[in-house]
Amino acid sequence: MSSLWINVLIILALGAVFIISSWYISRKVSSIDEYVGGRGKLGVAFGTTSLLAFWITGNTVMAGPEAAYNDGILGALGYAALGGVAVIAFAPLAKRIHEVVPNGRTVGDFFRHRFDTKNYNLFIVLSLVWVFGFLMTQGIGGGLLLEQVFDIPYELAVILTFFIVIVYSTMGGFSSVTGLAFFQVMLILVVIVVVPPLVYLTVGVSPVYEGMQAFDLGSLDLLAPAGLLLLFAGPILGIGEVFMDNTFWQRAYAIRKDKVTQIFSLSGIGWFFVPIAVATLAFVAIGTQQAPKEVNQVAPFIAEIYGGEFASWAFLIGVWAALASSIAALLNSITSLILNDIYLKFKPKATNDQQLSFAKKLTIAIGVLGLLVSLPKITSMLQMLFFLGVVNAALIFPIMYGLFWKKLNPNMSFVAAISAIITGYIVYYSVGSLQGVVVSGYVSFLVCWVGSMLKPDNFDWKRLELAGVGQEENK
Amino acid sequence: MIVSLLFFKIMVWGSIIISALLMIAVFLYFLYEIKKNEVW
Repeated sequence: MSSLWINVLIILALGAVFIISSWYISRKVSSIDEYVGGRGKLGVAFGTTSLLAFWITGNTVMAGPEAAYNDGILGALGYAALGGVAVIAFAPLAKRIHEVVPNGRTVGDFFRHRFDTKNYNLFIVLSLVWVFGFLMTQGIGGGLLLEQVFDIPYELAVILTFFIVIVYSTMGGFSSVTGLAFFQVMLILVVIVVVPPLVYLTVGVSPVYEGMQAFDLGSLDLLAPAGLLLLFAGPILGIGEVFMDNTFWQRAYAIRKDKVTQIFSLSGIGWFFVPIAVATLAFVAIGTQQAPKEVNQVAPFIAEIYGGEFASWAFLIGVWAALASSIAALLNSITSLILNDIYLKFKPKATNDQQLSFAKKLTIAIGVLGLLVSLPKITSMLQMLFFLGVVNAALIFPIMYGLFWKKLNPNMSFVAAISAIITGYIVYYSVGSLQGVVVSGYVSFLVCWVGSMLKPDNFDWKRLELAGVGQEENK
Repeated sequence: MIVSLLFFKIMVWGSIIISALLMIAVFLYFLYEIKKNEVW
C-alpha cells in the first residue's frame, strides 16, 4: 500500500474516533448554552486544552520550525512569544470579563453594552471578517501542509478535513469541541514530547550546536535584526488576534471563575514552550546541513530521518489533530457570534429548540462555505495573518480600555479604530507588513488615551451585567 | 551576541521537559476533576 493511502487511512481512522466521541458527548447537549458556550462550567483540564487546541494549529506545529529554520534562535523565540505573550496578556482580561460581564456569551455582548451602536456594528463586521479569514487560512494552510508533507492531494485533504470536522462539531457544538480538544491536545503533546528527544538522543545536542556555529553562525545570534523584529512585533500581532477573537471570549465565559488564573497560566506555558520544543528540530537541519524541499517541511523531514516512518506518522497524527481542533473551534465561534449577535436580534423570542436547530444548520453552512473558499488556494496563511493583523491591533486598546477604564469615550474608541486601520494599512503597503501592525496598535492607543483624557466618559459598569441576560430564558 | 552551548542545551531540553510537565499536569487535572465531577 502506498504511503498516500496509509496517510488517508490514518486520517479516516482518527476522524472516525472523533465523530464517535462527539456523538457520545452530544447525547447530553440539550440547551443552546451548552452548544455555544457553557457559562462558567469548564474546569482546568478542558479549559486549558480548549485554549491550547485552538492556538496550536497545524501551522503552529509546522511554522514554528520554519521560523527557527529562517531566523535561528530568535525565530523560535519570536514565534513562541507571538502566542505565549498574547495568552498571558489575556489572563487579566478573562478575570475582568467574569467580573463585569458575568452573563455574556460572545465578544459582541461586551461591545453592545459597553459602546454605542456604531462601535458595535463596526466590531461585528470586523470580527466576522477576521474569524472567517482565519478559518480560511486554516483550511488552505492545512490542505497545503497535508499535500506537501504527507502526499495527500490538496483537494482531498481539504474535503476530508472539513467533512470530518463539520460532522463532529455540528453534533455537540461547544461541548464536543472542548471535549475532543482534550484528547487532541494530548495527542499533539505526546508527539512533541516523544519526537524531538528521539532526534536529539540520536544526533546529540552539542554536535547540532557546533554545526550551527560552523555553517550558519547568524542562527545563534540574539541580535539579528529580522529575528528581533519578529520578537517585538509578533506579540502585538498575537495580542490583537487574541483580544478580538470570539473564540477566546467564549472560553473566558466558559471557564470557572476560580480557575481563570490556573487555566491561563498553564495555557501560556503551553503556548510559549510547545512551539519552541517542535522548532528545535529545525536546528538539527541547520546544524547537519540537511535541507528539506520546502522550508515548512523541516520538522517532519528531520523527524523522519532520525525517527523513521514511526516519527513521520506521529507527525501526521499531531498535525491533523491540531488542524481539526482549530477548525472546529472556529466553526463554533462563528456560529455563536452569528446566533447571538445577528439571529437573536431578528428573533429575540426564539425558543431553546429553535436556537439549537438554527445553530446546527449554521455550523454546517459555515463549514461548507469554509470548505468551498479553501479549495482554490487563494492566499497563504502568513499573508492573511499579517494583513488582518492591522485590524486586530486597531482593536486592542478599545477592548482593553473598555474593560478597565470607565473614562474611555465611545466616540474616541470609534475614531481610534478607524484611524488606526487607515494609518496601519498606509504603513503596511508603504513600509512593511509587521510595521503596519505596530503603527496600527500605536495609533489606536494614542487616540483612545488622549481623546478620552480630553473628553472623558463616565461609564456605569452595571450596564455590562445586563449583557447576555435573558438569552437562555426562552424555553 | 552568540548564544552559549549551555543556553542552547537549556532551550532544547527545557522546552521539551516543560511541554512534558504540561502534558502530565493537564492529564492529572483531568483525572482529579473526573473524580470530583468537575470536568464541565
